[in-house]
Amino acid sequence: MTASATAASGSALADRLLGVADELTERALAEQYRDPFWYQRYGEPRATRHGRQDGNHHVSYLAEALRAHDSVVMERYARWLQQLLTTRGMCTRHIAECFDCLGRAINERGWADAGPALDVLATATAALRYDGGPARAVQDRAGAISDGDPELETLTSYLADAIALSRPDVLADHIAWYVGFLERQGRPSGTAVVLIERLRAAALRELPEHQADLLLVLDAAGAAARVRP
Amino acid sequence: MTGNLDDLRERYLRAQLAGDRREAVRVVIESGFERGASVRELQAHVVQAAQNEIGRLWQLNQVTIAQEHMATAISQLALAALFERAPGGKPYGKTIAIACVEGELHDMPARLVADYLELDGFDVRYLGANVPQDHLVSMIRAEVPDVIGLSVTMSFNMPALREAVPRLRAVTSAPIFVGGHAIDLSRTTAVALGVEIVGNLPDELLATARRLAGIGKRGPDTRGPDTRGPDTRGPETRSE
Repeated sequence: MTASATAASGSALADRLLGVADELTERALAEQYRDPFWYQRYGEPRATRHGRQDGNHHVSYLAEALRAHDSVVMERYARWLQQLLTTRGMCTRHIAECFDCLGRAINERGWADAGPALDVLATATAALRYDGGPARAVQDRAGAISDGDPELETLTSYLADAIALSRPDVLADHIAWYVGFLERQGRPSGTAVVLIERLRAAALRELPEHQADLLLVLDAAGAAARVRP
Repeated sequence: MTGNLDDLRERYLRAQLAGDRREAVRVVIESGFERGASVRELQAHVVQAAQNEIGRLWQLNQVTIAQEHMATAISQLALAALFERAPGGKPYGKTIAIACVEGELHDMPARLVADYLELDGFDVRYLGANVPQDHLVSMIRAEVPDVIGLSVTMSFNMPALREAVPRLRAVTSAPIFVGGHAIDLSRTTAVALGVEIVGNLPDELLATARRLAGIGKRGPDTRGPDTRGPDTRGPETRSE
């Protein structure tokens, strides 16, 4: 394919994506918001309003990356979004889920030429991995730390974000909220303490070389887990 | 540069976050000039640097959107105060039109660019935020500037840039430069459009603008390397 033909096909796909941006966003949110986290954490009106706004932004940046034939547009957006949202109660795993849900919504359209859009989303998800250091080490060992438990997997993501931002409160604030959430879900009292202890044991086992960074965050999280909501 | 202006930037930032407009202006005008700093240094290393820090703090959820807007409004005031007191560069006799593309509401970067250029000696037509395409084209056709600068902060406004560039080229052969956060994210688009990219630093911006306007190196400027603050010799010193 010539460069101009490639450019034309990228623009055509971008136009189509923007034409159905609202529908794609609704479809992605319908899947993502099956998780009670969103409405409980932000309240239904706010979660819906911001979810729609963010979803449309994801599509806009994706379209821009396709038009420019430059996945870096979406990668930089993903990193920008990561810092923005991980300081506002979400974790990196949630952002990756947003991109995954958007990718499935695009896939369901059955467009034969959707491949580049899915590729760009994949590079954006990959860009959410930290560049190095203990935060990246936590991401790299997330599977072993969480051992297939989705709840621990999410907490591990918060742990990596807190370390990356040098902000122990990122995990501690989430835990402070999570204690009440677990109670509202009918989970036994003390569940958050157990979860943090499991996270702490697994993280220290997998990454003993990063003990100081881990404990700085996990100690604060442990204290937050012990506070009654 | 006249020493390190970090302490002034910190004082200015504190004034911004406290919403203290008088203190913010006092920092740049009184303290800045007392220090012997030039207008351009104060624009770049105090106001622009503080705005960058405000943006970073907002991203990290350490200031609210309302605080960010308040801080930006204070910077508009501080820039106006600096602009008013600057003697301006020797006129080049060249006109530059600066505009944010249609839909783009973030006008602070373009405003700074317009001020840098005006004080360097360009005759600037600053059109501000969110300039409708039709009106931008009409204005350019009427004014016939030597150079055009377009600003895009949000990437979802890049389609407006893509539309604006060929429409402008249909009415003028003036070179076009682009800048803004969205351009930093997507430099390939600027390359594909055949427009110049300018960075965020004033020296780089001015060098690009002078080159595009066909201005050679200036002879010795007795007023120093850049525009100094209050020049008691008055506006007539702007003449060659």
